[in-house]
Amino acid sequence: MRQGVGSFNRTWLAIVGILALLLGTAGLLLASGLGNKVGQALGLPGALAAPTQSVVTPGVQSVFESPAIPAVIATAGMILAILALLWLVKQIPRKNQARPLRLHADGADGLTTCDPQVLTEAISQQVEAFPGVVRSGAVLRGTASSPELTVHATVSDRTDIREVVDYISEHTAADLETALETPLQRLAILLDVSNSSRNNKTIVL
Amino acid sequence: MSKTSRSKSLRRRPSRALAASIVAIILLAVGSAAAWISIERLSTGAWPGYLSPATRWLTSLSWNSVGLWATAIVLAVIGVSLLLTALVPGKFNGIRLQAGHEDRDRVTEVLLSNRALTRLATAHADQIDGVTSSKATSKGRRVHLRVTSPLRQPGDLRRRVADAVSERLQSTAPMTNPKVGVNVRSTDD
Repeated sequence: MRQGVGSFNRTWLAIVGILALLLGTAGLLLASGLGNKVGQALGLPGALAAPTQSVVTPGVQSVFESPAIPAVIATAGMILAILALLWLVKQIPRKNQARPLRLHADGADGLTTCDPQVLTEAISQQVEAFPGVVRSGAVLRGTASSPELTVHATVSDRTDIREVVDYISEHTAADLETALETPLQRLAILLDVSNSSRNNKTIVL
Repeated sequence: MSKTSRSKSLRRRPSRALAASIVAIILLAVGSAAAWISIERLSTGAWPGYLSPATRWLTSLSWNSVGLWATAIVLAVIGVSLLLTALVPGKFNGIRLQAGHEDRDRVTEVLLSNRALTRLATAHADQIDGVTSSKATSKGRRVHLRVTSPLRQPGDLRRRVADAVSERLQSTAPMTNPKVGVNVRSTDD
């Protein structure tokens, strides 16, 4: 019911993966001495380091002695750290519940707003009252004029799932439409099954 | 209203949150360390002393040394693993059920989670005569049940379990009926 960031993660994992693979392949080509052969075959100018050559040459050492390099590394490091932190924070699943619904917004008569949680709690209670429903939760998204409802219902394994679906679709959603005085744009029902009956103690008669 | 307050499809593939979190933590550590060391260099005018062993190791390294081979191989393996993690789609989190009552204007999506599917299958299989216990796994549109039975000759138990579980799953009105496979193992085996 909470929303994740699947495509975003996959894109950035692919980018980091390609960079790591390119670095690894370049290291392997240089270590094996195949780098020069590949470069010649591709018609690239210049020669790469020989396999016996030191990785950190005096030229590389002098670059790190330059006074501008620490500032460049510090800036790049901070940017990398901030981007990584944002990526990490993005992993926290969010409900993305609607903001307070503006049911009546005529400035002259006053404003009427409704916290969506008031409605979702009522929806959850109504669904939980249906026989066989063990737990329920709801999220309301969209706006007061185009609401979208997502219901997560956990039912026991002996419940008739079609009856639960029909009840939510025909009664719960209809009641919400009556309360908001507008039809729902989207109704999503996520069904889970509890194995509570498996854990129950058996009575032998 | 922000764009993110709209609903997304309930039926999703894995978001790869674990892999993304691990990579993000590593990048955060690398970036923070680089920034910290560089700021120390800027404030003191010299690279920190604790970098000396790493610097000595790096200056002693040649391109064909064991350390560089190992680093390159590890990087290539990490790269391939991350690419596979990103590109392999993974299984959906559930199966769609028919919404019913198509007369309404709204879009309705009903999803039965994979966990619900396997629990329904096991709960129903457990009620069948001749079944001691059952364990179900789901993969795509296939549900596979491993059933243990006290019967020495299970006979048609496999077919009975498959038919009963199929019927139970079909009663939920899935958009595409899942195929049920059953393996029966005698408890005497």
